[in-house]
Order: sequence, then structure tokens, then C-alpha cells
Amino acid sequence: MANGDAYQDDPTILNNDPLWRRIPDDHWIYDENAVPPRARPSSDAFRDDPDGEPMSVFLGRETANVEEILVDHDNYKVASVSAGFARQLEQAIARDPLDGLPSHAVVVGNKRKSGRDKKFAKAAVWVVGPTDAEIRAEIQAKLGG
Amino acid sequence: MAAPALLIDRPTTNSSSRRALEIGIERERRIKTAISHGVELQPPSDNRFVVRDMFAFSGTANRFVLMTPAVDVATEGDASAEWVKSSAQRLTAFLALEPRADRRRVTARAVKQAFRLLKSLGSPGVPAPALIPTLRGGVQVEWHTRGVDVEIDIDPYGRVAVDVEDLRDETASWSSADATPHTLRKIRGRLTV
Repeated sequence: MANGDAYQDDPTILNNDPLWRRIPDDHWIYDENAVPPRARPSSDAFRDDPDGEPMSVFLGRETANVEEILVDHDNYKVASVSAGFARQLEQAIARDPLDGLPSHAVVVGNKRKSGRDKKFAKAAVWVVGPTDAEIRAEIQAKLGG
Repeated sequence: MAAPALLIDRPTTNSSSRRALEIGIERERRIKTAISHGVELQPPSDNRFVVRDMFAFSGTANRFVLMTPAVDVATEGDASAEWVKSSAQRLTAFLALEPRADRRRVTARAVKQAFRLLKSLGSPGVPAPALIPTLRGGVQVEWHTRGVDVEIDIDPYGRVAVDVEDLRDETASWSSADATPHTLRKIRGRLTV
């Protein structure tokens, strides 16, 4: 669908349903301010697509296994936020099934207003996260300059 | 076996560099492939970094040289933090990222702006930032440390948006639609130990 205006929030997607978002491998950071400090996605990972399409997610409850959404997406991570959290940020969630990926959905609404992208990033928990070795390398790169 | 070195050369206007720039798409593809296979970025001896959208290629199988007049950022002779140099190398590598369905190519304009900001912000005592090649083709510079979240979003046209969230004192949070010297001083001051 060409733009977000055409989507409506789908009440069959429950507030506690997890929304899985693919995260490019270079879109996570180490947040020393988090308690405890942790790796998390960057806010840029929770914005609409460059072509204007709304943010793409997968309904975790309706995805058989996470590997199926990572086909052709080598090294991507997967982060999860709840549908209820997205709605708190004034987003609508709508089903948008793709060929072979029936659990695909979109999160529709302004992501930049009031730092919503950063709120998504801070709330996200990993389904497939960076490895300990990757996190150590990120920390070391910063310390080493 | 160690990855071959990728040298980033300063711009020249002699005939050999013009020839190098004319080598074309096949060699551009080869150098991007080299980068994607872990070719190490190294600054030339005079610590000048040069970047452009369309890479030229020159050299042997083990030694690549990028030549371009588009971006020229000196990192020598000032009191910059050590990480400024490594950040410059990282930003340079962003230009070689292949666009995908969900990602546009990072522009030289965004990289150039990021270089400029990092040089200004990279005084001793300021920790290294995280650098993100944004999906729209820009660069995001982030610090999440010392009780403050700083996000500098540079769009593909080099325009800057700054967001500073002070986690200890909400009233000290602020945002700006540009990066003036005053803005950068405020960021530096908040991040410096």
C-alpha cells in the first residue's frame, strides 16, 4: 500500500502481542545509560521506510519461528515491542501479509514526533540480539577510540 | 592472511588521478567488494581523508587507492580525541554500503557533514560516539553515556537535527534544528568528563 493513511488499527492484534522488527546489523548501539547498561537498537531502526511506507513488523504470535523472517537478511537482529506500547505512542497496527510471510504487519503513525522512535528503541527487547562477542567488540571499539 | 590495506588518498588534479577517476563502474564494484570482504581502511601518512560517492580505483590487488575531490577532512595537527580518526574511517566505509530495498546509499554530503561535526565535537575528554548509517542515506551520531542521550541526525542533504535528553535533569534537555558553534559547545560541555 502506498501510504499510511489507508491503514486502520486492527483490534484483533492484542495489546500484549509482540511486534517483531528486523534490525540491520549496524543499527544497534551500547546504551551505558540503561539500567543495567545494554545493547539496544538505534532510534533509526524504528522509523518509517525510506520510500514512505510505514514501519514493517511481524506479528510474533503468528510467526512460526523467527528464522523465517530472516531469510535473505543475513546478520540482521530482531527486536520486539508490544502492540500496546506502539498504541501508547499513537501508532496504528495493521496486517499487511506478504507472499510467504503472512504475519507481516505495519506500524502506522508519525515516528519522529516527541521522540517516539527513541522510545521504541529503548523499550525494545531482543528476540535475536547481538552476541556477547559483538557487544564486547562494540565496547572495545569505543574504549579504543 | 591479513586483509589488504585500503589507502584513502588526498585529491590531486594531475593526469594520472584523472585517469584513475575514469576507470569506471567495474573497478568501483571491485573496491566496494574489497571493502565488503573486510579490507582494512587506513589513512595515508599525512592523515587526510578523502571521500566521494563514486569511488575510483587504482593500484595492485593488495593495495587500493581512492581518489576524489569531493570531501577532504584533515585530522592532523589539532587536539582531537583519538576516536576522531577511527570515526572518519568508519564514515568512509559507509559510502561503500550497498543500497537495499530498506536502505538508501549514504550520501557524501551526509558523511562530509558528519566529519565536520565530529571534528568539532571530538575534543579530549569527549567519549567516542556510535555511528549509524541511516536507512534514508544519512548518518546518525549518538552518545548514550554520562547520564545524557545525544542524537545528531544528519539527513542525506547534510541537514542536522540535534536532540539532547538529560536523564538526570529533564529541564536540561533540549533540541535544535541546526548545529551552530554554540550548539556544539553545549554538547561538548555536557559530554566532557
